[in-house]
Amino acid sequence: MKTGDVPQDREQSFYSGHQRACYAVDEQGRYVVVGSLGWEPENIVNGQANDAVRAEIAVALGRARRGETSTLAYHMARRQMDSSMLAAYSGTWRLRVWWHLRPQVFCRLPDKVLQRYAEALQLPLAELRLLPAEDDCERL
Amino acid sequence: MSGFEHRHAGHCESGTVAALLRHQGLDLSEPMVFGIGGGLFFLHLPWLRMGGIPLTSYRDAPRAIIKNIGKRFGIRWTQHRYRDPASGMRALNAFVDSGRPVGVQTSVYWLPYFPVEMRFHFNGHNLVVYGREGADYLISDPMAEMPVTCAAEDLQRARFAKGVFAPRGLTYYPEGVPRDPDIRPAVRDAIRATARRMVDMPVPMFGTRGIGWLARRLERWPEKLGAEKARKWVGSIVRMQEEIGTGGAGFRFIYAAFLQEAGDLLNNAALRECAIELTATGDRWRDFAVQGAQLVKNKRDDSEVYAKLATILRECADREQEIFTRLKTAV
Repeated sequence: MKTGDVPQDREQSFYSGHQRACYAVDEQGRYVVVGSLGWEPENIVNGQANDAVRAEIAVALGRARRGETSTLAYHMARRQMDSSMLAAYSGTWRLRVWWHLRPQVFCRLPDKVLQRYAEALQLPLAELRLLPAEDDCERL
Repeated sequence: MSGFEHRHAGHCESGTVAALLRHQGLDLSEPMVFGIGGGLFFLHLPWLRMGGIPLTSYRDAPRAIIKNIGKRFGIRWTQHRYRDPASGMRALNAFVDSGRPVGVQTSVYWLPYFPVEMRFHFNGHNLVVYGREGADYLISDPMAEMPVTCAAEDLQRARFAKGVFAPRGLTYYPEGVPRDPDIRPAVRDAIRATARRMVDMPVPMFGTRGIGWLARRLERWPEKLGAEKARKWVGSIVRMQEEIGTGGAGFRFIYAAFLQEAGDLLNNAALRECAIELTATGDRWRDFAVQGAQLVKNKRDDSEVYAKLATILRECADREQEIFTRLKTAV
């Protein structure tokens, strides 16, 4: 890649104004570092990965709204976590998290247990029991 | 807390190691550190999945550069991990308050200065903490153009992230660096080792054979996985190649920069030629990224596109086979 070819695709770039260091060859054939503001192919695949996250959150939200899972499942998805990661963050077992994803179990959990999830997910405890009014599929 | 020189880098680990060594008086470029650290590689492991997607990597395992730099220069790294986050932060404070910048392993998910759309649960990030200002830490993150700051609680969370490859608060710094070392033996040793790993691995998943292996498998993805999943897998390869801090073309450009510098250092024409060749191969990898991303965008599901992608991969495999075979004996 020549220095002049280092992409500067600002449009829809997820770098949000930051630059990425790219190695490219200058006029004399020497390698130098050139900042890139974005590259379309990169923006496309990053968009794909972020769409996948949003889709997972949407699924989790739908299931929680229908009462198929507890609200915890939605908040877990917003943090891009699965049950084993949430278990690691809250210092418990995966099977226990899985058990708490059932609405009828979750609604009877004491605050002491909820507090651990609140800390793991970096959320206020009260929010754990709630779902957003709108269809919010953005990550935290 | 001034006096720490920040440089924008292509890759977090080589950038962090280069910055720490430079601070102690051993001034090597990032490509030099990447090359001597034996950073370049290729592997594709279908059964090792993250988020259901097989692992494709263009480099050696995380921390390999730290280890290899230590080995080839006889530098000892002081490394600490901590069970308790609070004591990990106290230890970090003690380091920076005594004027010692330290390398720190973190997750990128909890670092607030990263763009939101890049914050995934990836625990293999490296950065330098070089000071404190009030409740904030002064950070030289090689991925950023400028030094950044980060609140103590965010940094603590990032250092004590959980899950795959959990950093457990790792801090590291070199115990001392050699004065004006002769780096030529290290360069020769590193080039031979990387070349051997690229072409002589007796298993199909690694090195240049791994690239051809990926090509064969990728061709079958649309029928095996269905259109959508196949596109997702192709997208993930492109991300590993371009998005996750590689300096472009899955570390091929940064390694070519290393070969160029090594060619001048050793006055070796073969190395310079290999640098040019690897740059051209990197351009083909960029073509792969362009075509792969187009597939993701257009959602056209003909197998022709996959055949085309596989053709580019095979070409990259052949070219790298030639380059690294030559490099085995060039130094």
